[in-house]
Amino acid sequence: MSDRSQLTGERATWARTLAAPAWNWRLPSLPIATLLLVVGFLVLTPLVLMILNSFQIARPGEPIMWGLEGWIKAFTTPGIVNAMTNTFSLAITRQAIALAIGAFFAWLIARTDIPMKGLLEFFFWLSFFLPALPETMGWILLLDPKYGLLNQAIVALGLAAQGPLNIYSFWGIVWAHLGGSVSVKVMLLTPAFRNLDAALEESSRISGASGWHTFFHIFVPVMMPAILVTTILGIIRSLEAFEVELLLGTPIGLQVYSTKIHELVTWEPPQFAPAMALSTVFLFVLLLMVALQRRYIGKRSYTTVTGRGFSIRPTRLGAWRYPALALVLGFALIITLVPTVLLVTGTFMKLFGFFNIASPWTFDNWRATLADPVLARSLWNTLAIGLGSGLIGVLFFSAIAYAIVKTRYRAGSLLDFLSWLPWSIPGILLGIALLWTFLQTKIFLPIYGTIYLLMIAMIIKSMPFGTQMIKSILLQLGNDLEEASKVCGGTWLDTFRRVIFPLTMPALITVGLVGFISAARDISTVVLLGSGKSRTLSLLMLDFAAGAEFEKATVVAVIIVGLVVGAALIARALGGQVGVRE
Amino acid sequence: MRSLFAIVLLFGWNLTSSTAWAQNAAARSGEWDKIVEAARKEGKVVASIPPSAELRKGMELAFTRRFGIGVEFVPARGGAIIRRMADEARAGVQYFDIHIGGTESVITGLLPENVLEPVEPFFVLPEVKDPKQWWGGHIWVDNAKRFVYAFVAYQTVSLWSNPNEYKPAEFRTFDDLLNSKLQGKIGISDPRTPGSGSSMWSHMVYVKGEEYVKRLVAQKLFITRDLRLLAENLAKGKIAVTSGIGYSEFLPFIKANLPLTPLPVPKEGLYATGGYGHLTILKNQPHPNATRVFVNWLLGPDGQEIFSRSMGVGTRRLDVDTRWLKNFGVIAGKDGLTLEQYYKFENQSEEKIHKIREPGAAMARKLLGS
Repeated sequence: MSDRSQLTGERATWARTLAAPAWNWRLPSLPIATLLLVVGFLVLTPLVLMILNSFQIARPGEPIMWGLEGWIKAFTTPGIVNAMTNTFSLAITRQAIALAIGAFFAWLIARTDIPMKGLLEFFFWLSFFLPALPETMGWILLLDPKYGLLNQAIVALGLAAQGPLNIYSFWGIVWAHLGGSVSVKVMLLTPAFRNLDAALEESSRISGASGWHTFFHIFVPVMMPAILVTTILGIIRSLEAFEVELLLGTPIGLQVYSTKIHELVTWEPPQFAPAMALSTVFLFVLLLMVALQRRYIGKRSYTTVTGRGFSIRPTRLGAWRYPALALVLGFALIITLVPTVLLVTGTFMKLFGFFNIASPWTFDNWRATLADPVLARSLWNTLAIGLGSGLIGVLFFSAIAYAIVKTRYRAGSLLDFLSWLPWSIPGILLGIALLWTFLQTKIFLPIYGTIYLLMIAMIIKSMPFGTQMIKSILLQLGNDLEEASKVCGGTWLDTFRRVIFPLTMPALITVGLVGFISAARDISTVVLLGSGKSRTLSLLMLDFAAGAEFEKATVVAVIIVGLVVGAALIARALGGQVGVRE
Repeated sequence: MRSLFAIVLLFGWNLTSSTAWAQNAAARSGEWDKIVEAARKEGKVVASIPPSAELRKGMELAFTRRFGIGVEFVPARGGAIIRRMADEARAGVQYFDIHIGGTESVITGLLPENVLEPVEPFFVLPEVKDPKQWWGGHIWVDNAKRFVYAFVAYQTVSLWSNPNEYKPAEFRTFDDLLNSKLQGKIGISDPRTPGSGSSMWSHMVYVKGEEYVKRLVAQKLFITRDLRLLAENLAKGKIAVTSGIGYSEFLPFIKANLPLTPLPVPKEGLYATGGYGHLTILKNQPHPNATRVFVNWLLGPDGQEIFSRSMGVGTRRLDVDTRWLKNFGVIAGKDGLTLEQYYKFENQSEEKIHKIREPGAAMARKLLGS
């Protein structure tokens, strides 16, 4: 066979492959192809750089050298097996407890006639966005075995000879995380419960099914996309969490995977090769979970919002109405108000947590922090980055989610897969991976050191959550809505503007809010990208903490909480929720 | 309170030093004025500085007011920011002009990358150039004596105790830390990473040997990188002695009259250091004239006063008072050391980092796990 005919034969084979009906592959349209390229570039570049650098073993100043030394070091580090066991034990324990409590509370808020629903839901939002470090300090203040206020009270009341509660323990770590873990479940599952058509529930009951049967055979299967996203989010957050573990685990020698990575990254010089090698476990876990999620969801339909109308009738709790309120409100107050009050109290203390010193109270921390010229600049940067990444993120994630759900191209599946990948890099390494990405891409160099680069970083980091949440809402929208619009002569733009956008707007507001708040709180992603002029409030907080001025750091933390509460209130006033408009 | 104290001092110093600066102005050449003018056109200087809000505020206020040139400070600890600078240089990005910080990260991270500019050509003003203005003349940390300038030299008591748990009088030598009553009661700053913890640990390895540190580890040490946690645990009496943590971390606790006291200098002696007081200049700096102005201001009496006060360390400038530091367990080199003692006990130069610090850290990793 001549070269030419061989080439022609190959082309024919490729053509057959592309056209094969079983594969159902069609070349994507230009907008989808562009989206695919942009998303692919933004998420694959840092990931590829991370994997490549796990094999780069040269010391600073030496020419590049490849080898397996980093991998060998990573997986032979003493204590790594224990760290992995601890990580997965903590993650599974936390997620199991949080899912059970969170789903139950979400159901109570969304599907029953429990009073003060809005307030209850808002408390969980607030708890989710509280900064982890000062919150943990608050719990130490209460639950330190010797000096904790609660333990001291128990001993003073003669209920025990020594403090029975110990925050420095496995269960202490679970407790310190529980507020955030339950809150994210409530935040995301409440709207999903709310989107269920009451007709499904009623049909089940009319057919003679019990409450439990209805819950497990109607609610759980229909809500599975939201449950899976929140579970994956929860597990990934559990795997990469390290601030709480560092504070509470180190004194008792309890190490987790992320504290091992943190240890390697903060070595001198930083040990990126083994750190990157260790973090590939995140990639493996994420790929496994995404594969399971895709396999489970498969081609089932989760449409609950159609053109036929939608009924929401709450279940009557009867005599259980107020006990249920007491339970949810009590939990919400413990996880929200207690740390917030402790945090605010800390800002007025000369020494955080030292109540027994002479004249422990002062306004100096506020005075000094508010007089710091960097505060106003940091606040402005935070607002600009938060609003920018929130708004652009919503548009970008909507386009990705729409392409995933509403197009028939295989490229949609690829986009879906790609959109998960930023979660495969632990937060602590995402910053360095993004730094390498931006430095090695000429297009980003003109904005290097500016807030625009930080916006892009935050959009990449928020991509999995934003895309998957919008996707789960789009999955609930029936195609008949769009078809009705088309029948009436509406163009694609009309349909999007007048049908899809209004229905998804509450969810979009919430995704934007989460983007804004993540930008306000984030440290690890932006710490290496920030410059003097683009520093955010969270980086200012880090500056104070690193300079041993913890009390001033808590002042900045309270300002961040204030910003978060303000943003959440505005978002709720605009009708934000992760669900379709009621 | 600490900030207020520093600001009052700063203003006081500004009043006196402004006069001195004005008197010297006439003696300055037109070259300096041209540099300042060119620096104003460049607009700003970008510097990575140690993580201290007080230092950041103090330097920004004083420098900008004096010259009308902006400053962009990026406060950060060594490792991460050094890596960023090296990555930027490799990518051909010039963002930073100056780095001020500890030596280990510079020696291991920046020096081998060949991204540093010799410092001395940036000395313009006579009070900076003249070695007689400095205790020990010009002291360099790198072997080439060109790239890493040490403008600070001091000894600090980095062993502290809670006297309710352990009386300072009980401590005379490092061997006293092996006393069985201190088992589980000693907290140390993690010696596996650079910083005061690594300095102290390496010093102990250097003067007492491997067998000693093995026995020390057997005392069931509380090891952390969180210096605030270490200070807090000592103040609360959870531990009795700390090592590798200095005055600035203890200051809020001392002000609150909590029972904390430095231990006496052990008979084996303490190490000498420059702490964060080292200046390096990046190659192809984007603001060369502003860099020149900043370097001369930083190394002049004003800059050194602010640095010394904010960081609680002893400058080597002879015209800046550092005797007040003694009250806080810090002895400036010029106030209590001979040059021979300094060179014997310093463990921050390129030579000592390779000879003492790196083997010390390696041993720490071996004994404590890595």
